Amino acid sequence: MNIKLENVSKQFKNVLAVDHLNIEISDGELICLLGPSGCGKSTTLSMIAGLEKPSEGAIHFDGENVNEVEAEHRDIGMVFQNYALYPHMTVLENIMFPLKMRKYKKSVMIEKALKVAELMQIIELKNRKPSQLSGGQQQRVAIGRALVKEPKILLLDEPLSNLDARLRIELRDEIRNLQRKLKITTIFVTHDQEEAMSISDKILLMNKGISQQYSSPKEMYREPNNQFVAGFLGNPPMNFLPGYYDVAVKQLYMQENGESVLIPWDKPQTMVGLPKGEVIIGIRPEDLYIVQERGVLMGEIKSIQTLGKEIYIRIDICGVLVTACVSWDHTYHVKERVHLGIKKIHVFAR
Amino acid sequence: MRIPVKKYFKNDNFRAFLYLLPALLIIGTFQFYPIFKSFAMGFYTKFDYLTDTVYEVGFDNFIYVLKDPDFILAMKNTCIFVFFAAPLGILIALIFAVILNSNIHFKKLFRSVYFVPFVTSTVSISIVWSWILNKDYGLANAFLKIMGMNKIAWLTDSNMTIPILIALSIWKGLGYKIIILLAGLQGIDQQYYFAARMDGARKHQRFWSITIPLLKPSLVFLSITSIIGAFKIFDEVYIMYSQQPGPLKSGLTIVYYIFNKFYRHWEFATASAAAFILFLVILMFTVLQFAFTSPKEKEE
Repeated sequence: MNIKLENVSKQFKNVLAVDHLNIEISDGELICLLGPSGCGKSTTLSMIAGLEKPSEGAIHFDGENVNEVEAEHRDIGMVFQNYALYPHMTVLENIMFPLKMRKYKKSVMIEKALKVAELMQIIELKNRKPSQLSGGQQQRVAIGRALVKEPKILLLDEPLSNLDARLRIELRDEIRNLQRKLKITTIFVTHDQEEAMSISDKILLMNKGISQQYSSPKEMYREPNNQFVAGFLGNPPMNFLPGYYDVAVKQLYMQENGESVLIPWDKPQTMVGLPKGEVIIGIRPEDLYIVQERGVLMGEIKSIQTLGKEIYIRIDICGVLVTACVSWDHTYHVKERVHLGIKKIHVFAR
Repeated sequence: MRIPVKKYFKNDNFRAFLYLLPALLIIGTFQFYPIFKSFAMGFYTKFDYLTDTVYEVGFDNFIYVLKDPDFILAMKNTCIFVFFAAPLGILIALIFAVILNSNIHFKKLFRSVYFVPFVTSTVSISIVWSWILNKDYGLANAFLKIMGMNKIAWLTDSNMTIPILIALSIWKGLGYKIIILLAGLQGIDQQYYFAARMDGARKHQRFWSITIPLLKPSLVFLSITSIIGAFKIFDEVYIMYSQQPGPLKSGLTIVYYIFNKFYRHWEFATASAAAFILFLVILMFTVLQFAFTSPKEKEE
C-alpha cells in the first residue's frame, strides 16, 4: 500500500513532536525512521498506526485520507518494542487474536495461525505462555501476530532493541527476507544507524521533529544534506573542521587558531545555497589517509586505537582533533608527525 | 568459640520464623483457637460454661440448629443477601473504576469521595441510613414526595429489608472495591491496548479480551473477600433496626442468629454449632472460588 504524509504535525502539550512532515512511501518498500531519541520517529509511527491523531496535515493510504479512521479499522500489523504479547494467552491464541477480532471461523483461525507460526519457526512453542519464551521467541510471536491477518502495512517500533547483538542481526535479516517475500509495505523505527543502513530501501532521518533527509541509505551516507545527517551516520563519526570559502578566488580553507590551510576542492559546490564565508568542512575518517609527504593536512598523532580490521588514529591538526581510519600496513607512533591526504570532503553552511 | 544459638540466628528460615512469631501468636490465640474451640463447643450437650467442664457430648446442637426454622430463615436471608450484594458490589465498583480510570476531570476528588463510606464506621452509617429511611422524617421519602410519589415504609416493610441491606452494603464497600480495581486497571500495561487496537479489537472487545482477563487477580480477590464479608453481615441490621432482626425477622442473618443465641439466650453450644456451620459454608464458597478461578492447565 502506498502511504503519503502531507504536512503532518503533532503537537503535545508544549512540544512539537513532529513538524510538518512530508513523505511518500511506495508500495512494497521498507522504510526506516531513524533518529536520536525524542526526534519524533515513534510519534510518526503512532500517527500512521492511528494510535495518535495528527494535529495538522493528512495521512493517505493509497490516496485515501485516513485521518479519521481508528487504529482498529486501519488493517495494519504492528510489532512493539517490548512485544506486548497478551500474557494470559498462549502463543497460538496470541497469533489467532487478530483473526478472532475479525470473527473468523475457528478452523480457519487455527489453520492460518499455524501457517504463520511455521513461517516464524515457532510452531513447537504454540502452547506456551509468553512468560515462558525468550526475548527472541517473543519477538517472533509478535511478528507472527502482526502478519497473520495479512495486513497491507507492517509497522515495527524498535523491534530489536531489547535483543542481544547476535540475535538482532539474525532477526533483522529475517525481517528483511520476510518483507521481500510478502512484498508488504513496512516502516521500521530504530535509533540504530547500522540497522537502518543494512535493511532499508530508504531512510527517513529525523531530528527534533523535522525531516532531515529522506533517501536511500547509500545516498544519505555519500551525500548528506546537512551537518546533522553527516554527523549522525557513520562510525566513527565524521570529522568537522572550521573552514572558510573565499568566493572571489573560489577556494576553500581550513581555518583554526589564526592558521589557514588550503584544501583542494575539485568538485564545484552542488549544494543549494552555496556556502559563503565561514563553512564547516566534513571529512569521514575513512576518507583520510596517511601519505609520506606533501599531504593536504599535517598533524601530530595524539592517540592510537587498534580495532580488529583497522586502526583509528586521533590526529591534532592546528589544535583540531580529527580521527582517521587507516589499515594495518604501517606502524604508527604517538607524537609522530604525519601528512594526510583527503579522498572526499563535504562542505556545510555554518 | 561459637555458640550454637548464634548459628540458629544466622539461619534465614529461623530468623523469618522469629519475625512471624508475634503475629502468629495473636492470630493463633484470637482466630485459630476460637475456631477449634467453637467447633468443640458445638458438640457440648451438657456442660458448665463457667468452669468449662463437659458432662456430655453429641451432635444434638448441630441437629437442633439445622432444624431450627430461625436458622433456616437466617441462612436463606443471608444467602439471598450474599447472592446479590457480592456480585452487584463488584460489578458497580468495576463500572466506576473503569470510568475513573479514563481521562476524566477531578479524578482524585471522586476517588476520595467514594472512599469515604469505607473509612466511616458501620454503626454511624447505619444510624444515618436509618434516619434517611425514616418513614415520616426521612430524606428518602422527602425525595419521593418531591417526585410526587407515595411514602414507602422502608424500615417496617419486610420486603424492603434485604434490598436495603444490599444497597447499604454495596454503597459502603464501593470505595474499597474501586481502589482495588483501579490499582488493578492501572497495572495493565497500556501497550496491550495499543496492540489490541492494532489487532482490530473494538472497545468492547478490548474490554472483554484484555481488561477482564488481566484484571482477574483483583476480581478474584474481591469476589472472595466480599463473599466472606457478606456472609458475616450483622452490624447493619443490628443498628438500623434498633437491635431487632428487621420486621418479621426479614433481616435475620446467620451472624445475628449466632449473636442472639449467644448473648440473649445464653445458648453457647447452639451458637457455637451455628458459628461453625457458617465457617463451613464460607470455607466451601472460598474453596469453590479458588477451584473455579485458579489457572487450569490447557488441554490439547
